[in-house]
Amino acid sequence: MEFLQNLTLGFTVALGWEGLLYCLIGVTFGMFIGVLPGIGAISAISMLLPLTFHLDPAPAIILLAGFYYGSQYGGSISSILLNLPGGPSSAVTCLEGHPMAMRGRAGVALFMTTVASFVGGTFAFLLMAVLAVPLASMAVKFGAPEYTALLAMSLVFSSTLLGGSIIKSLAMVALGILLGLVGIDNSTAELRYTFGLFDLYDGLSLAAIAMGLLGIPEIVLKLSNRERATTIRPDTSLRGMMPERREVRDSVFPIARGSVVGGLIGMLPGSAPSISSFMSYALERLVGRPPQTFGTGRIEGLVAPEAANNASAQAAFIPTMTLGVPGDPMMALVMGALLIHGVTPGPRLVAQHPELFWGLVASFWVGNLMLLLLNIPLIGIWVRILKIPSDILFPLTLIFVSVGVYSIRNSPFDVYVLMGASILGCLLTYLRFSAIPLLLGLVLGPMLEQNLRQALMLSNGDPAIFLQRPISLGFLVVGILCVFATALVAVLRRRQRSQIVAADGRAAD
Amino acid sequence: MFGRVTLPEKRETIAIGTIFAIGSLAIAEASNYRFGWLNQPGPGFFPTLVGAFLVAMALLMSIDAVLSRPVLAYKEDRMRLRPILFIPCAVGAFAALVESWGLAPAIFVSTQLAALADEQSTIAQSLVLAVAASILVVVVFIGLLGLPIDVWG
Repeated sequence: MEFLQNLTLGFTVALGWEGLLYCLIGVTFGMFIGVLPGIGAISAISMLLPLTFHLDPAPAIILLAGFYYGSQYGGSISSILLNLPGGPSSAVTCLEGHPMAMRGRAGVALFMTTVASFVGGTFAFLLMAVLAVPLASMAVKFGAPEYTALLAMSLVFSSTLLGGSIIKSLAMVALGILLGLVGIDNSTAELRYTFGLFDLYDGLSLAAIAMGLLGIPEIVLKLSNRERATTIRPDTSLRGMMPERREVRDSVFPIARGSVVGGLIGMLPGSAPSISSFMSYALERLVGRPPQTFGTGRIEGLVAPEAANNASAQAAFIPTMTLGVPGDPMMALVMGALLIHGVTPGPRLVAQHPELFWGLVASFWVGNLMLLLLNIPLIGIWVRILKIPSDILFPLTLIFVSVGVYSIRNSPFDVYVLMGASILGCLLTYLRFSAIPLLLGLVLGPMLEQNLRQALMLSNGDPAIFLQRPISLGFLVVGILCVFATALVAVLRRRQRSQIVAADGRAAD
Repeated sequence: MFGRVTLPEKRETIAIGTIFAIGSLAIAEASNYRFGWLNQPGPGFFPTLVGAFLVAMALLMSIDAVLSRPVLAYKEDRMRLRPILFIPCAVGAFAALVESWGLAPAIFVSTQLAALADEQSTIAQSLVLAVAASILVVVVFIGLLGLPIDVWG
């Protein structure tokens, strides 16, 4: 009964005029930003952050959340029509979505992604409603050793699940932790890595670093590789969007599988939504018959990652809100916004701010419903927005981001940090490093240090404490298994590839 | 390929060198802070650990690069020098000017620099864009959000 009471409370908040209004603004603006190629959710959130300071915490987070999953959804539109993903998580959508559009099924592809997103979002909503309270009550019992192990596991997750070299990802995590050390040491109030700069005492601005590392290199890449994308004029009449019976039948199980994959992966702290869409696509290729037709516009390969993507974008709020451990850079920014409002995410949040927490949960579902209802009539407009030339779009984005970062605390220094981060971001992209583990290290680093030091003091300097506590041991074992599994897959792949190379060499002889 | 040793290619070499250098510098700087003991870790304890981890990762990266030949599965995007130079400049110009000259002039200069990053943009277009961007930002951030920023220095 308590469960129903909670949901009722949530829906009263989400369906109040403020909740509805900010949810609507969030999803609409999020979709708009998501549609624009080359502008990710991170860029947009740093423009939006100053706006949320003027709101109460509940509408602020409803706005940011709506914005987040709205942009996840919008990204699929430019992927399908232009083959230009708005962010990493919609790159998978291009694989089957664009070929479908080329075959004249663009309208159907857009329609089915909307439905898949809705189902994925609904699943994540249920997951959050059911799991939040038990998870939070479990997390209340966590001490410093458990948190240390959990944070370490999250950081390892963020490196292994991303693909690419795990060593390079772990190096990025460490670099992020290092950047997070800048400023006053929480335990002893001593200054570290400030090099005499007064502006560094408070540490580096997360929004500036996130924007500089993820958003600006994206603009540089787009400006460096300008190709006229061929726009497809989709049939956006209601009739043109209706899927055939066969297409609906082929989508049911992939959507269900995608929702589960996305929901479960999204719950893991340290996993970005792009991971779940890649994994869900891989799963569909594994079970789909015949596998070799993937890449030619198979609807299974479109809807499953789309459901997974949206489910994980929302499930990512579970560790953020109940454990206080943000799963990805985006969640870190959301958490930062909450902290500014004096709300500390963590196990006590559900009990202390039930209206905020349950309002957010309920707004997920309301927001998804809005997306579903809004999207279908608006698809024609999104298609037209895609024609905004990039020579207007990119300078405008840059200005808005600069002003956004500046206005967070009226600090020109933060804008210099943005500039420095953008140079670092370009260097990292050139050196084939991914910035996502870095940002996670930056966010989780200070928590990791604090808990590690506390745990060591608790055990009187004995590191074995992490192995003696069962929960902490469990987290560490999972993290280590994850590293080994990833390394094993990499070695196997390499062997397979070198066999192919060797076979090619013999054939050439 | 196993058994055959190859020299890492240029980008990997720079990557390894960068990580190694950052790790070493981090340890060097951390040596200025009190390390403490395991049961009473000081402010230098964790930074040293992180620096050592970075150095270890640089070593692992070099082993990995020597043992394997990187096979690129996809065509890599190029990065041109022009946007790499002008985009940070545009951001920097905004930072330098926003408090001394005011918001509108800072946006104007910044937009001009951002337009220079794009070889396809024309002067007339960038002037129109700069004016439009200034008005838009002033309306949104000062008009709608009421942020305390001076429009003119």
